[in-house]
Amino acid sequence: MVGKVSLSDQMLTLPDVARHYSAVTAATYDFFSNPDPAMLFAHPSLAGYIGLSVDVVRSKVLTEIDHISALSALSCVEAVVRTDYLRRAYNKEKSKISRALRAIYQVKEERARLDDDLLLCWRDNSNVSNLLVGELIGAFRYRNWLAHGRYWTPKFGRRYDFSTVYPLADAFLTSIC
Amino acid sequence: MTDKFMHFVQEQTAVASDETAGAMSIEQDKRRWLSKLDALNKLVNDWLGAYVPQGIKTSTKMVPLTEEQTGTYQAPQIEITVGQAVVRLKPIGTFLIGAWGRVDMEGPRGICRLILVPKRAKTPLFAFSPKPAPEQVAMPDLVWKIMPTPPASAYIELTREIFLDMLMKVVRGG
Repeated sequence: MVGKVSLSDQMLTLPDVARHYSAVTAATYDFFSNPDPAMLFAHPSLAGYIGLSVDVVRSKVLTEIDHISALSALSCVEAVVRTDYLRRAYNKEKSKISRALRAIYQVKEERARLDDDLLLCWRDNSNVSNLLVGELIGAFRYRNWLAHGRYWTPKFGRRYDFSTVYPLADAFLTSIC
Repeated sequence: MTDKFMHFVQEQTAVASDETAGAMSIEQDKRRWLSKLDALNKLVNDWLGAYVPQGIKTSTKMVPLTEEQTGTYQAPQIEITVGQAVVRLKPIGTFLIGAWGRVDMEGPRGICRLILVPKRAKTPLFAFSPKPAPEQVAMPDLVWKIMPTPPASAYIELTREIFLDMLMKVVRGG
């Protein structure tokens, strides 16, 4: 227990997410590498994919793994940013970023917005590059699209997937830690 | 009123001019990306040429690629056939974070991502956008490198030996 919010010990780290992504991706390629498609499609887990080719089904499965892993990586960033925010708010640290985050806390407490409040605060009160924060805020639009069920046609301006999101998340966390 | 209208006209003209320049820049980005795909195609064919008599085959087909800025266009996809395995070098796009393009080399047992970045880049740059005007900053010398699987972050130089290793890996696994 730190301050008012009870923090869990269940946060994943980015390397945890990367390892999970690698393991599940490798297992998926192995699973679909059966040279006999008839044998493969006899597997009960593929009953819902009747009529599709092995390549198409594998691609669908890998795309979902990719989306879920990207969502998880960006959620790691949010968890780190928010727990760091609460720690600085409760511990009354003296650095510029601590003071700025505490000023937000005095108004918004636990309701601070990730992008408009916390990430912009990091941009304006630390050495984290504007460009990196801007790219991360863009990536969180992708995260929100995933988290809210992808029901609208997104206009991100660029392609996002696990491979693009992970290094961005890693660079940001390295910058703030 | 006249001055106010003049200001309006100048403002609208400037917006139109910016939009035209933006459209030209996107077209240039696309052309550069397509030329780099051609260069990769040549590189792959040069590296694999010696193995054609042993049975490796390469072909190129045009595939539709859709990016938000450009809409749908055709881009070359290299296909390598080794025995029963088919490896595709799928063009992913040029409007990415921290890179000028990406091709995913996918085989039956795995994937290897090739990324178009400045020659000096060792790790992701996050310097893609906003792009400076061409007259302000020269376009860096772009080369194809291998994007490591996270959590590793350092790019791997793309050489013939590394490419052949990656090709074996996406076919046989490991």
